[in-house]
Amino acid sequence: MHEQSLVRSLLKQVETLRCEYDGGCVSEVRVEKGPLSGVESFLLSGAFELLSKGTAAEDAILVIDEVPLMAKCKLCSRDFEINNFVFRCPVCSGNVKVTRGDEFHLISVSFSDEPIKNERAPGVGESEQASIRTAEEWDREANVDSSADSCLIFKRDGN
Amino acid sequence: MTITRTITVRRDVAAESKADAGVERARLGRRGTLVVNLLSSPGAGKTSLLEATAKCLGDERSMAVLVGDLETDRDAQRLSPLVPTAQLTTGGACHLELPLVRRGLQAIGDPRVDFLFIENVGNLVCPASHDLGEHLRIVLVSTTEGDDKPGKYPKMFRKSDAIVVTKLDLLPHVPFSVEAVVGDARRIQPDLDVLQACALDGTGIRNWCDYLISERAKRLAEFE
Repeated sequence: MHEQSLVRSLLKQVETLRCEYDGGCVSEVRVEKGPLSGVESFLLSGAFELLSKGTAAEDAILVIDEVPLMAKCKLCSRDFEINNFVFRCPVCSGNVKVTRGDEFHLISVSFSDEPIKNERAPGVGESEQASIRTAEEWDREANVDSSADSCLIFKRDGN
Repeated sequence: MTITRTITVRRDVAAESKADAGVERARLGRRGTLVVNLLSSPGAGKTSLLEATAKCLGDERSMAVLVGDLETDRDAQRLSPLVPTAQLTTGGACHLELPLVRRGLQAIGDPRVDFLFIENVGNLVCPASHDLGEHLRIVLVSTTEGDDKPGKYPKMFRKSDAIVVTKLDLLPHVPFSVEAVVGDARRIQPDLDVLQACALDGTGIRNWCDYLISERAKRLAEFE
C-alpha cells in the first residue's frame, strides 16, 4: 500500500524534470527496483495509473526494470547474487554488504512533442489547466494524506 | 511525426523522505533522545513490552511513546498513565510515515526524553520500508505466532537491528523454537542482536532495558 506514497514522490520528480527540461507530454517513465525495495510491481503500476490522471504523465507508459539482489562478502570480497534471501557468502560463509537490490530509482523520463491531453481538451478552462499538478501541489497532497486530522493526544500530568 | 526526448537521471525516488528522516534523526540524536522504532505483527506484545519498559526504567530514564494504529486510542489509554503518549491513528494506512510522527511529537510538546519509542502499526510488511528517523529498529516475534516468520518477511528482519522474542512464558505450551527463529533471522541479518522477554512476569525486561541504555550510549555518540 505504500506504493501510493512512492508514486506521489515519483510523479513529483517527473514533474520537476519536465519543468527543468521544458518537456511536453510525458510518454515514458522508466524505474528500476530491487527485491529489497519493498515495492510490488503490480501495485506500483496500479498506483501510477490512478495517480497520474490529470497530470502530464497521464498517458505515459511505466517501465519497471527489476534488478537482482547483489552483495559483496565482507571477508573474501567476492561479489555474488543473493538467492532465497540468504545473506551469507556461499564460499566462506562471511557476512555480506548488499551492493544492489534495495533501490527504487527513477532512471529516465521521455517526453514527446504531443500536446498534453488537458491542454488540447476543447473549451479548456483555468480549473482544468490547474489539474496538471506542480511539484508543490504533490507536496501539499502528500501532506494532507499523511497528516489527516488523526492525532489524538494523551498527556501524563506534569508533562 | 512525434519527436521524443529522453532524459536519463537515476534518482532515488525516496531521496527526499530519506533526507528528511536523516534530519530528524540528527536533531533528536544531538539532544540525547534515542528514537526506537518498534515493529511486529499485530498482537506480538509491543504495547505490553512498552508498559513493562516504562515501569522498569521508572525514574532512572525518561521516555515518551508515539503509538500507531489504524483505529482507536486503546494503546494510548494503556500507556498514558505511565509516560507521555500520543496515539497516531492512520485511518486505514498500514504503516507510519514521518509527517504523522512529527505531528504526534509536537502534540506531546516535543519532550526532551532519553528514549522516544515509536510503536508502529502491527504489520511485518510496509513499515519495513519507512525510515521514521529512528536510531534503533527492533522487531518483536512472539512465541504464539510461530518461529517461521523471518523467512516469510525477510525485508523486515534484514532492516532491523535486534529481535525480541516475546511471550516467553508460553514457550512450554506452543511449538516454537527460539533457536529456529534466531537461526532463520540471522540467515537474513547476521548482525541481529537477540533478546528474550516476558512482559507479564518480567522475565528479561531488565536485560532489555540495559540493552536500550547501552545502545543509546553507543548510537548517540556520533551526534555529540
